[in-house]
Amino acid sequence: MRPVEPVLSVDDLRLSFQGIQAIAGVSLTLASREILGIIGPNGAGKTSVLNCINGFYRPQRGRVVFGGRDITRLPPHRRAALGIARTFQNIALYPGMSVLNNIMTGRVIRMRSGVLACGVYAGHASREHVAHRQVVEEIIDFLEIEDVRRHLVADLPYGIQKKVELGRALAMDPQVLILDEPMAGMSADEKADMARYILELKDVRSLPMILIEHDMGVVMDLCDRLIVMDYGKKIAEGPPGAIQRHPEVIRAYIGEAAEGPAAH
Amino acid sequence: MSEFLLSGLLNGLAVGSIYALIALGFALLYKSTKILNLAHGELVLFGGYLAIALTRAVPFPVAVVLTLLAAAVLGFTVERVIMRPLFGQPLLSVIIVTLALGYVVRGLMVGIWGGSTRNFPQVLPGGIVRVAGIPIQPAGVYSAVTAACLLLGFWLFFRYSLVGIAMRAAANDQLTASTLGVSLRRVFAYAWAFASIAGAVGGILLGLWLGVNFALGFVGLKALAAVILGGLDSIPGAILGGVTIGIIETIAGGYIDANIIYGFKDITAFVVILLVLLVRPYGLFGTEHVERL
Amino acid sequence: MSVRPAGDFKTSYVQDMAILDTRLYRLGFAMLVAGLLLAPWWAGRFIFLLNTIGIYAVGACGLGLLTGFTGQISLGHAAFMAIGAYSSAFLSQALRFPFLIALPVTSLITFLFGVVVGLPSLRIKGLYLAIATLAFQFLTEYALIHATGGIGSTTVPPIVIGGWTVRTDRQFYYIVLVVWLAAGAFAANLVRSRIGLAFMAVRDRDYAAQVLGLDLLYYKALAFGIAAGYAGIAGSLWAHYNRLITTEQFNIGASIDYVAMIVIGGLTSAWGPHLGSAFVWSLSQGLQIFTPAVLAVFPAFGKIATPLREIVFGVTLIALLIWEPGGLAMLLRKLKRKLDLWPFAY
Repeated sequence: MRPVEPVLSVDDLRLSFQGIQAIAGVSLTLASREILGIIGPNGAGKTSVLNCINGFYRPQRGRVVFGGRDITRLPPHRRAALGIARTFQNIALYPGMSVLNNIMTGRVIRMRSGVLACGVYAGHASREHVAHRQVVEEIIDFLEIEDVRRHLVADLPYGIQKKVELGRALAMDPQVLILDEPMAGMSADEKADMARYILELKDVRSLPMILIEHDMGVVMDLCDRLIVMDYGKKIAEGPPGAIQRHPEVIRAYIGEAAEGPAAH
Repeated sequence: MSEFLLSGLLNGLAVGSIYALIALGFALLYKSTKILNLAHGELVLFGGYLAIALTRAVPFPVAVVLTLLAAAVLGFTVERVIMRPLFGQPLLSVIIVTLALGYVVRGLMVGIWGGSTRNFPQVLPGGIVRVAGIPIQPAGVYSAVTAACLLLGFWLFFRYSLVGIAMRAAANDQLTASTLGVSLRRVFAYAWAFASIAGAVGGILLGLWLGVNFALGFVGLKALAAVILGGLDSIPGAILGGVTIGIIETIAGGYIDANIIYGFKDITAFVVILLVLLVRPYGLFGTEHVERL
Repeated sequence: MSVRPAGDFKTSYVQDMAILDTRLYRLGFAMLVAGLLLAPWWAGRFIFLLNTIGIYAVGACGLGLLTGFTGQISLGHAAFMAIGAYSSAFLSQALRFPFLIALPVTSLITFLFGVVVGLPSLRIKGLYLAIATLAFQFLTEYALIHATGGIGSTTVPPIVIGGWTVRTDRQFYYIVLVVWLAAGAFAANLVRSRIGLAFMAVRDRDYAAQVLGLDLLYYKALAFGIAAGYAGIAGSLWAHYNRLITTEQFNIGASIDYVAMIVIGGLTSAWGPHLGSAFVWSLSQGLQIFTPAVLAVFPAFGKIATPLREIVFGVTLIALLIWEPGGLAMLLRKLKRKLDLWPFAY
């Protein structure tokens, strides 16, 4: 069943760097309460699509529409303020700050105190800070990282850093969450935990998500719908079960050694 | 007017080639060690003062050789005693240490030689040389030729010698280079020695031309400016930056000083850099990548 | 990982986010403030040193926010101080503004200058930015020299507050102290508030900051503005304190001194600028007293009296930074940790 009004839609996106096509006409839609997976071989242009959605790249053609509004020309921070949160393939936390402060940075745009109020830090600014601290503590509880709250992020193992980054994105109260390989490099246990959080976010918070992930088991279990990319093109789209049997997908993943010239 | 331009161009080229040499030392050090050396101006002064002092005792060529040796030793010592313990420390802390190093070197020099302007004895033929009909001081010609030869020498060194290649590798990627068997310590030591030598040669050349005094320490900042103008990670950029600043300073600075407002010469370079950076934030030849500080 | 002192429990987030977070530190700070309040009675003729430390600490606080917390290196901080000094001089001399109005107006003027200078920081980054600010430093010096008609000095009237004219060093000290404490508290509060978080986010990873909805241009320009505002206040105080200002007092050397102060004090600490200013000026003053004493014993050193000061100053800085590159604040933090854990090792 197709939703009438998607939360986010990308229409005929085209992006090239100095003549090299990174994205060659990709369209996608994201419905509310949906987890959309993007899969494909390395270099297929998956992350580039995310970068176009959150504004790091300006596509040469195509539109990005979020909540009924064309955001193709908006700078990244404006899109974030509208409610698009994301995490990165290579963790982009602040290693020199504590877990608490890292997640707190996600609340900064939700705080309203002016510069003078912050400098005086009495009354409203102080109360506001405490209120936001409470929200952050709830997120810390949700992600079960209470014990490392005060640790510097740099001192933490990779799997926990990934959790913290998810926490920071959640702290923004996003409308859409974009996860770029949230489970890369994790142990099986950590993956199970992360999958649990993602499902809970979908069920409890009704948070729509776009997810890039290489672990096919995870993708098949979590995602409601999949898009397969190869060489900057969308080569297939559909529910996980159908994608697994799609001939183009099999060819992209397993190669075309049978029919093509020498496989690499 | 055209003669003014041509004379400015020639004189500027001469000064600029010295700046280029000093900037080269600066850029080399930055590229191989990622250290911004605020004591570079003092290294220039050191070369100038020491050479002048030595010419009282020994013939000029011997004095030059001894000065360069002393500069190399100074460079090695600084690396070994001060910089090595700071390896991997925050960039600004290291920069401030080089600043403090500058204080020490300058203090020592003032203590030994006093603060007044000193001149080399007459080692170059006096009078005026004419190049294409334009009068120019012989010191300028010598400077330009020496600087050009040295730049060529440095270039050959980095292109063909093993140490030079190791230094380039380290400049490209310290970690990878060290896994390939390049000794970073050695590279850093050489980088300091080279920077120090390049500075000393610059000091001697400028000293031959203008005499040595503490205002000359300002060329350290000009070298920094030249390097930024060319783009921090580009050695040819540093050289071109040096020459450009020399020429602009002489022509534009000289013209504005004489005709519009006084005292503009020394800051012309910085105005040009500001304008260039507004258009090209990574200098003329620098590659665009995020500089983390 | 952070170590919390045993037996000192926090029951609210307000307590947890307090700047002075244990009873012991609150007591220590209270004693520090009391000591500073009584300074005219114990500092004697060195009250001028405290005035200098205080004024420069205010300026360094601003640079600390800009360089330490927002990661933008500025070699033009003294230029903002100069703009502040000359604005304040103009406002109180030509326009007869009372000090209590001239000071905030000066700060506002330099704030605006700072914002404008900060605008290119979106594109020009790191050391390139440092050189751009250096160019601003030279241009400001140059403009001021020509605007004031040469190298001569400009006189500044004394501070008058409600009919009370501030004349002596001791009287001036209380003005400095009030401004110093207020400026320090303001900076410390900023650092722990949302503004501080945003600054650090911009400093440590700018693309991540964008994803968090932070406008890089806004926060960088704001940091420059605030830094310049602080420098303006320092400049205004300096002008009224010295009563004679020349452009020489705010040259590139002063800008570099500022950077040295915040690095020596500790870049990422709210205490850093104060410690740095105190250290640099005390050392410099101490050497000025110490050197003649040495000369009295060893007259042979006579020729190198001035350079000796410079050498010792340089060697001290080098030794300190090799010992602890994180600066004095880091040294204190380590000491604090030892105290928290004492008598155990961990």
